[in-house]
Amino acid sequence: MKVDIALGKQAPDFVLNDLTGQSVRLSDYKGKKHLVLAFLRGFM
Amino acid sequence: MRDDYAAFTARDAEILAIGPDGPNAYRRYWESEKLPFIGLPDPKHTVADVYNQQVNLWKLGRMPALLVLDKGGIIQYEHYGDDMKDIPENKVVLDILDKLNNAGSQ
Repeated sequence: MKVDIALGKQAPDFVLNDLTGQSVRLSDYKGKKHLVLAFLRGFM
Repeated sequence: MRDDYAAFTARDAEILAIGPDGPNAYRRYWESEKLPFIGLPDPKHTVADVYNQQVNLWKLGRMPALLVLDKGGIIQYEHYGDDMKDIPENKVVLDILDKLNNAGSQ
């Protein structure tokens, strides 16, 4: 899948489960919240 | 980011922290660090790959990255770290959110 991750572009939607097993979809926040996406390196 | 979480929420922002570890490791870390924001395990790197394939920065392994999206889901800021500690300061991110809030006050 080719997605352009660049300033001014729409961020691609995704869905992941949070730590309680609830699914979190990026587009759920649309129109509601600004989002900070932090991609972590890992804890180990 | 934990200590400034209230500053983020006050600016109408949510933090999604996406990481390569599995749910159990993630949960342990979250509980031990008492992190208030949303943790999203991505052990198959599906989201990380989508967000980084094009920039191709994972050659040396997974480096931290940070993006700010406005309420329309538009990318307003992106920072791809050069090493493990290369993460923008909270103040930088909070300033961006302030700008978004000032610009989008319609």
